Amino acid sequence: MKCIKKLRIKNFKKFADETFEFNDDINILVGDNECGKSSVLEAIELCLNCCHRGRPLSPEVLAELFNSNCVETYLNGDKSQTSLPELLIEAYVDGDPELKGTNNSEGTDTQGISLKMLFNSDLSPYYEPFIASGDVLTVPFELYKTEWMSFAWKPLAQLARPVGCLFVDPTRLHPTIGRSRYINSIISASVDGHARPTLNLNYRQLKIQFNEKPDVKAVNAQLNAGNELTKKTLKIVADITPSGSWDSNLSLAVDDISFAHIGKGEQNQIQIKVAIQNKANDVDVVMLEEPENHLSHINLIQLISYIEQKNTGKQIFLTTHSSYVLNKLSIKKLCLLTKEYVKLKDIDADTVETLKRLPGYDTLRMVLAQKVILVEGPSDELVLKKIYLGLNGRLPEEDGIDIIVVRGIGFKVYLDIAKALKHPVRVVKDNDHDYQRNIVDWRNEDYKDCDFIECYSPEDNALHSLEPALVAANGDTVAALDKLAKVMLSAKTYGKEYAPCADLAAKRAYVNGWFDTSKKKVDSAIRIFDTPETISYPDYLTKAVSFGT
Amino acid sequence: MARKLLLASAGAGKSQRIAGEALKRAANGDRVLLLTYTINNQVELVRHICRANRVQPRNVVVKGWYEFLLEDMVRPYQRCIVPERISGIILNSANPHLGRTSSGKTFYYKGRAEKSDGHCNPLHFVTKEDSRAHTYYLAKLAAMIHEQTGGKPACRLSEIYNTVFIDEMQDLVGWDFAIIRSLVETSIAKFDCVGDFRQSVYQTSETTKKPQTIKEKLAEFKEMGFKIENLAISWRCIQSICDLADRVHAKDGHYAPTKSQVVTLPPEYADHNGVFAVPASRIVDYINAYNPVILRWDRRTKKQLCEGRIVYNFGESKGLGFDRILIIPPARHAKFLRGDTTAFDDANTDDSRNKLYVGITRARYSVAFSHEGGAVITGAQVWNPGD
Repeated sequence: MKCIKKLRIKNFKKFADETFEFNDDINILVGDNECGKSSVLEAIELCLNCCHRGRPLSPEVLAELFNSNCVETYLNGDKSQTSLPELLIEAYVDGDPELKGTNNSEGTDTQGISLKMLFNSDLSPYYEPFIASGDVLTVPFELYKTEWMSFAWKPLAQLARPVGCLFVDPTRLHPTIGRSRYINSIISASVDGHARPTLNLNYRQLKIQFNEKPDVKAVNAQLNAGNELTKKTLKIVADITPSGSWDSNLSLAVDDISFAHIGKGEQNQIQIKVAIQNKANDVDVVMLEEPENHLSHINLIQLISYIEQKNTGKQIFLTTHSSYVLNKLSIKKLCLLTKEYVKLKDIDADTVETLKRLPGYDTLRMVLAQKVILVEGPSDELVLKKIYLGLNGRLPEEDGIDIIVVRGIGFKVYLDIAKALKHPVRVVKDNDHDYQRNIVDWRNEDYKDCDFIECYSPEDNALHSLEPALVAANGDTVAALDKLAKVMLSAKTYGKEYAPCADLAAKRAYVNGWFDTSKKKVDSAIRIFDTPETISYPDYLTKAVSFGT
Repeated sequence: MARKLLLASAGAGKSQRIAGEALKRAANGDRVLLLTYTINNQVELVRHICRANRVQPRNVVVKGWYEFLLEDMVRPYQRCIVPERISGIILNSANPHLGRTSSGKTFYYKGRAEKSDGHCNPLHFVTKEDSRAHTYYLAKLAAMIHEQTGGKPACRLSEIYNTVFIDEMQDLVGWDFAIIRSLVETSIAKFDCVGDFRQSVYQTSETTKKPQTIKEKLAEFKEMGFKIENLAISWRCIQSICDLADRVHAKDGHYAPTKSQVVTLPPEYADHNGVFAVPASRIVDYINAYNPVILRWDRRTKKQLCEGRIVYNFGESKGLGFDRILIIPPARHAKFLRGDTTAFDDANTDDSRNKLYVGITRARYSVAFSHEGGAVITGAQVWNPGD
């Protein structure tokens, strides 16, 4: 079983120089849009297959691949031959000792493949007139060469690729353009070696039979009746030239509808399953781009369990924006592309299992957000948003602050992930009548040295949750409390039960008592969010949404 | 590791034997590397494999010696001596660092010594312009890389293969033995070297590094723990031809007499088989009568006679078999064929003698040689029909 241990990328797309370590089995690449997830997959395809999204590496393609900064540096430099940028991708692999050698950028004795795009010094006579012309607007990729070799410095050939890789890329499935090549690779991967000659032979015979059909003959007899068009025989025939081999002419059909025209979701599923199953057994690495695309939730569930159960011995790389995919395939396999690349390593095993069983939680939201606030319930979320809106005139999400309600699984799962990633996160948590035990001790137990995890909660045990804290913040005067009560309570409750209370103490006691038993706390929070009135908010909440400037 | 040195006489069917053995091992799931010196023999080995198995299995790899040295023993770790990737090889027929002035004096090119400033000098091993490795020093380069990396190339090789056969081991010399030794030290489970010293006709690399002579090579193999076996049979030549061939190296005393395994003679060869001395004046008659394949020293030999006929140089003919041959003997061969056992005594190398052995053993049914008169070696009869 062959797999990629590590990938080094230099001057490719957005990566000036980056190293990625991978898991042997599954790698789930996540990151914000434009973070380079797809570029990593492309780099793998380039290095293993020596092509880019199925296209051969022509000068036009090269121009798309080079890092724009290195091109810029070249254009702003002295433009000497040695300053021409080079692109390098190295896949450090395991499972093929023939690829072993020290010819890699690290100089270590290890197995691997390297792909280099660099100036072809044989062509330097052409470079001189190029720069002499003065107006150099781009790198002369026409004068470049691609060196594709193992770490043993043996040149590689596409027909005998040492590590096979299949890139499932639904966007390549255009009904007409470039269709056949891509579908070929799918068809080829789906049938075993013996089936290919059988298909080809039958296909050729079919074409010969076509020419012999009475109807076809009749048409042909009419075609040049009386030899008007030419004195020779003119016939319509099925093309039996060597180029017309079965795999470029046969296509897949689902329920008799051509593959390119079936639903995108179905296309997606079939492609992925074919790649995983790989009857031809020539694929070591399967790459999937956003498998959740075009799939309903139920279909996604089925597809992910197919990947989970049927994959034997292939290394999978997938990009996703779906927490479900991530949780279900195991959050342990997370490869996060942010400012720097992080591969999740030490994460609590229970948390991994919990998420496999309960994959519906928004783990990805937390992983990707720059600023995260975890809260217990929707009331906390609404109030925090209201505070932020009041302070900044914008909702927190508009400034990249994500408030996540942890719901049933509680804080632990989220914080375990944050801990493993060293991802900054804020927690707004009720003290539940015991600040020392529920906040201080709780934090010290699991997250002692995690200063990137900040906890916000009232220290006063009496302010055991959001509502008592709100009451306390607005409870100094009757007027203030009345205003709060008017917002939070229904008109009926306010008029009939709250208003008759004799003094401030009685009113406070009433409101607190009402919240202790009420099932309508969320309604109250919604009313707070909607009200134009200005009320006071507890300090710990204001701090929780203040990120400084 | 099981190590065996099989000394097989010409026509003993060693290529077929190796191919069979390789297939057997491959069927067991072993990963087999077959190495040989000449391209001819590389093709021959693949042919034997395909004759027995239709296709060459994925786990049987056949490589030429230089290809092997370059791809497996040099390039993966070359940077410790040669930083730039070696682009290929340049075939040297002699020491590439040795030049000759117009007056015929030899001299060494500057800057190509083995060491410069105490380090290995890349230009000792590769060309300056296009970084091609001199075949003359290729094995030496491989051996030095092996030494500098603490044995990494051989270690890598043992991860890829667990069975190695070297055919035509007689052509290995000097530094090549350092490579054999490096393989002996690995975990490769089976390592067989097969060949016939009498068929060594290529002088391929540095001539000062030992072992050079048959005696030295045999001692080296023994010292590395190779068990020596003999295979003194011929499936190709009839007994009278075997006898003549044995006579070429009889003085050395290393070899058992070859037993021909040819039991039936096709009827069309019944009237003319064995060894014949053809008077120089009758050569054309002989060729017209029996249409033999002509074996010669090199392209300059009897150009007119050879024109339009099937001709091989002795060296080229190695590994091939023909029904009838005609040898055009150079001076030493002619002397030997007149029965003079001292014919090769004054030669510096075994080259000429071995070429005669190779030539004779190409023939299945008849060996003829052009004869300028005088005595004729025992076992040969003068061809002079109509006399």
